[in-house]
Amino acid sequence: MPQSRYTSQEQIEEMRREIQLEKQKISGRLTCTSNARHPKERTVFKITGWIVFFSVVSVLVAAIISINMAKNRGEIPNVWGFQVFSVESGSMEPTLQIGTLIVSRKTNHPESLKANQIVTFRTLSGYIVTHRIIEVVTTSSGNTAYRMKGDNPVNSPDEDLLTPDRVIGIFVAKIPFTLR
Amino acid sequence: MDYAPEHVVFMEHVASGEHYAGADGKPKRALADISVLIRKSETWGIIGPSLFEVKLLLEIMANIKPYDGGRCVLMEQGMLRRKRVILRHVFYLGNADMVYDNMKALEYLMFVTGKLPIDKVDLQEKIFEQMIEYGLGPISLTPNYLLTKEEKAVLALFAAAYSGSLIIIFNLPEYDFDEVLAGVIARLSAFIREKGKTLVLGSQNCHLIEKACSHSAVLQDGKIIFSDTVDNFRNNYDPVIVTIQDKQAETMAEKLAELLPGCQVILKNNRLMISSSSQEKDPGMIYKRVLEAGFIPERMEINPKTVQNAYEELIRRHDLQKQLL
Repeated sequence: MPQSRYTSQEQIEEMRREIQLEKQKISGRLTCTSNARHPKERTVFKITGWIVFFSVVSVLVAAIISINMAKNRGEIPNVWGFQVFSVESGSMEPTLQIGTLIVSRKTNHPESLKANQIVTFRTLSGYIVTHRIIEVVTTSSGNTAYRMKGDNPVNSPDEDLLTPDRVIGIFVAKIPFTLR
Repeated sequence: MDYAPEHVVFMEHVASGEHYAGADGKPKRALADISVLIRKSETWGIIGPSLFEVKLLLEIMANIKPYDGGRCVLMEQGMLRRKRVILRHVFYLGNADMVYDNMKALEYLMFVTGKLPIDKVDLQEKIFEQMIEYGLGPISLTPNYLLTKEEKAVLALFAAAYSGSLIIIFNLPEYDFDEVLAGVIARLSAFIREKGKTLVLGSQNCHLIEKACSHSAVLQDGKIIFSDTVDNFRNNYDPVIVTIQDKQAETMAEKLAELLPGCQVILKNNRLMISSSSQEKDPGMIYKRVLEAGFIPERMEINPKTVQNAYEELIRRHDLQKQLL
């Protein structure tokens, strides 16, 4: 059927009805909104929002200060015991690829670690390394030590045993999408 | 709305370098000496026998075409002669293409007014009722591709009225607006003036100028030969005193020409128009002479003074003056 060029009176009335309906809907919505939130409630919401905002800002400021202080003391910076490291060699591939950022947690009991745990530690020559414990060893003097190895199959176990005093932290997680 | 200065368009001895072929085949300079002052909240109708000249003048006002001589100031800002950019405060309508065919009339107006900081439903109701009130109800919900170019142009003018632009240039002298659309343009013109904006429309339709404009300028041979209010134009230049409608109009014309030597008797569309440029301007006296001639006209009325008659008279006088020179 060919479309009419002119708008009929029925179409005009229909449009008027639609507009009125839409206006009613909006005024209804406004009434509901005003009923739902009284001025007192709105004030509480506002105050809570400000408290949350200031808490987040305080935490961030504290973290920045603590990191800088640790750096100045020559220590590894940490926030509530958590430290971030960047993987710089392929010794732990395919578990940890070069460039990945990992999170390690400080431990209060470095002498009670178990096999298969991934540990960040300082080598005898002073480098910081993250490897996996392949064996828990008891030395002739009765102390606990760990035999470490990178996950990369081409790696052989580390020459030196890891003593608990050189443990920095236990691997917790790798930060996603941080591969360079 | 932005600050609107009192003087919106000021042109002083503006001349254009464009030429067109005259009747004798020789190139004629389109605009030779244009001086006009358009103030805030006025509606100007620019009319003239040459469509090209009218269009060109409005294009210069909108800064689309350059001018080569004189001075042109728009919104108290000088317009560079060679710059061809439509300024922010000008809403220029040079054709009806800006009305999108994939929308309906109301939908289009809602689309172009989308950025206005007004509740959309209230705005829709306002525009819809305004369309109906102004006489656009029959096309308010019509798809735009079914509209004529004149209807689209009026729709674009509607959009311009709601825009933030302080000057609207409606440059469509080639469009033929019928009685209904001329009425809508007149209503829109009043609405535009109310908002403190200025409308300049180029036209060859005297009826449109009479209905929609507060001021008029007549362009002839590249010069403005008249610029003033429409009322002054009608009253000062329309020479017709009375019009007579009768079956015997032709016979009456011959007789009255003898009886009224100071008057001009013209037969047009079966109507007898009696005009006088000087002496006898008293309709009572003319009626007396008609009765003396033995005619009782079916209908005789005092001419309400029209732009059409005034325009024809002005052009006639101008042509006469040219011939004398």
